[in-house]
Amino acid sequence: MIVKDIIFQLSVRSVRLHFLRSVLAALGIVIGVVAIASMGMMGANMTLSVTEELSSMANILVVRPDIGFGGGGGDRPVMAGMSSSSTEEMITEDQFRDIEQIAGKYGLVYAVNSRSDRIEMGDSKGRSTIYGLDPAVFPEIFTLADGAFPKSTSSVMIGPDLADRFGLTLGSKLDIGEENETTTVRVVGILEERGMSMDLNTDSAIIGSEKLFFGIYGGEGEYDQVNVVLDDINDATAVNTEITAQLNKKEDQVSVQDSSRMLENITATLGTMTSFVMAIAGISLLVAAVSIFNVMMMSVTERIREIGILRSIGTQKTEIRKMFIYEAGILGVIGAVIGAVLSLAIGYVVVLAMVGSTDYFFTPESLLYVPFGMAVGIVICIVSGVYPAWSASNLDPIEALRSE
Amino acid sequence: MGSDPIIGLDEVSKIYPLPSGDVIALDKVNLAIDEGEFLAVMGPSGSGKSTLLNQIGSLDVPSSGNLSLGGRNIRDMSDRELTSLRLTMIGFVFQKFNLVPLLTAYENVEYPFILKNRKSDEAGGHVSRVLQMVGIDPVLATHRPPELSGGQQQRVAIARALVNDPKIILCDEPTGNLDSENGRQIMGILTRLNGEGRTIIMVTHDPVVASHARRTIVMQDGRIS
Ligand SMILES: Nc1ncnc2c1ncn2[C@@H]1O[C@H](COP(=O)(O)OP(=O)(O)OP(=O)(O)O)[C@@H](O)[C@H]1O
Ligand SMILES: [Mg+2]
Repeated sequence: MIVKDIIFQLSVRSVRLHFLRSVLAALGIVIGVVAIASMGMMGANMTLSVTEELSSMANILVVRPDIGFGGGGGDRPVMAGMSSSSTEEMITEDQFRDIEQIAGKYGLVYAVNSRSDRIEMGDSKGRSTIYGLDPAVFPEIFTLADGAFPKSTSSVMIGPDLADRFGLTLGSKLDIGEENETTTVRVVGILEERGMSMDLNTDSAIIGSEKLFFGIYGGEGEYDQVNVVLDDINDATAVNTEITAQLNKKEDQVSVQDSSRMLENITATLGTMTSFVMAIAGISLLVAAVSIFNVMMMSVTERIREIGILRSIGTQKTEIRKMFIYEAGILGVIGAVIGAVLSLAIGYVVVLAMVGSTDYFFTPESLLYVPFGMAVGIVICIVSGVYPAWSASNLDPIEALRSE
Repeated sequence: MGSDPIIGLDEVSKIYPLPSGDVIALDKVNLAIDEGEFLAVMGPSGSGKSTLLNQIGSLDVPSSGNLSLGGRNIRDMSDRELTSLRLTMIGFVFQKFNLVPLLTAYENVEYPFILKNRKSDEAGGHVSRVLQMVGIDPVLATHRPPELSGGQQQRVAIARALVNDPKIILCDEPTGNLDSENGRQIMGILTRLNGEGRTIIMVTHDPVVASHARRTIVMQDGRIS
């Protein structure tokens, strides 16, 4: 046994002598570690799943005509109906060419038309969004759950929600348009679920070729929006700036929505939220610090005579200090280890409840918060032990020996 | 005996300032103790015997005057130096044994050895030999102090005081808590240690115990009378 070990032994034995009291004091640390770790894991899992959900669409720029109130966002198709005749509020063929020229080298550029319209199949009637796109881009932006991409002007593919809602299957026929002037199309493909997004919302929509769209609604050479799918998300700002500079030279004609910015904002907001929630969880550690401090002071008071003995036979002040710092550290480690185990269980439940998915629970980004919480807990303990240790080491040996 | 004394007190005073007035525990004490002496300190309760011993043991520094140990003035020494002086040069034996309750008898004796040598004594057997010398067998050595009799505890305490081979052994009423038989055995050990050349200073109330010493001083009101 070397010096460090025998001093450490004394600390261990002191903790063991008052085991119940020590564990109760460490309980505060347990709670603090669990709170910090599970809140941190919740934040990490939330960020990861939001990032995952959004990043598939975050590499997309959406160019829309500037309609005067900040470029608009949200669900464009509802407004498409009333704006179809006005050139001012559509992207012209020339503008589309310009955008293609600028952004083409950074990724895929395609134009989109959309319209909300009445649909009818057999006895059931409803409304849906009809998209018209260049069929050449279908394979690049859509994933089919079933069937094939439409090749003729009378065939379409539909979103999974629409298929569910109306019981549509491959081969189903449906009518688009007002009662007397319907166009009949056939379902040849059903898309995979895609979720809400800025560029296209296809889950309950009908998607056909441009020709089909113009055949029903006219307006050839004008588009509701142009989407740019970037190969590299880091080009987003550059392309955005270039498009805006080129097309809005004289007056604001288009507005560009940059999804990557939104993603950045969301993750930043989530990060701030997580830190805030963790800070609140950290308050529980402050309470724990008080109870550790209390127990350490108790330990010093009870062992005054022992400290006097140790000092009188040649124990240095620093060694006495170490003895109590070790003791606080042991309490911290006990609390942190129990806290770590519990925070895996509790964190899992919290993530399941708050995020809804534990897909990212066992990733480094998420699990990192367990050692982080442990470290905070141990550091808090040691800091709480500094004053008691200091006061123990500065006891007058003679006074300490005289005490009972 | 012509050489310098191992312990020298020159006008040493110790004053405890209290709200009710200063307590003069030591009043300008002059004392020289040669290496190898066996000195008994007697005197009534409160006369300053323990205070004198604590000063010599460098547990405290004088309020005034000079105290030298092995030729060095303890005024010139830092707390760190005084502490290692206690570790290497001085062995304490107290009336109340003062063993560390968290450690076994063996560990109590090994503790100062580890502090001094920065290593354990598992291989050397030195700790066991010292315990054997004071009559503590290896089985007894595994016991914690509360499981030992007073006589056994005092033997362990002496072993602890001896383990680093100190020049000076300070005993504050070493037999005060023991029956006469145990007291006699402890005195036997101390006499033997003195015979080996160690300097022993022993506070006692008991004239029979004091008779083992070669010199006796009597204290009265903080002074040597
Ligand atoms: N820490 C202290 N604070 C104040 N007064 C003290 C302190 N220590 C000792 N004294 C006083 O100093 C005087 C000498 O005390 P000391 O303990 O040296 O006596 P003693 O001769 O050892 O007595 P006893 O035989 O009872 O052990 C006493 O009057 C005591 O009250
Ligand atoms: Mg005394």
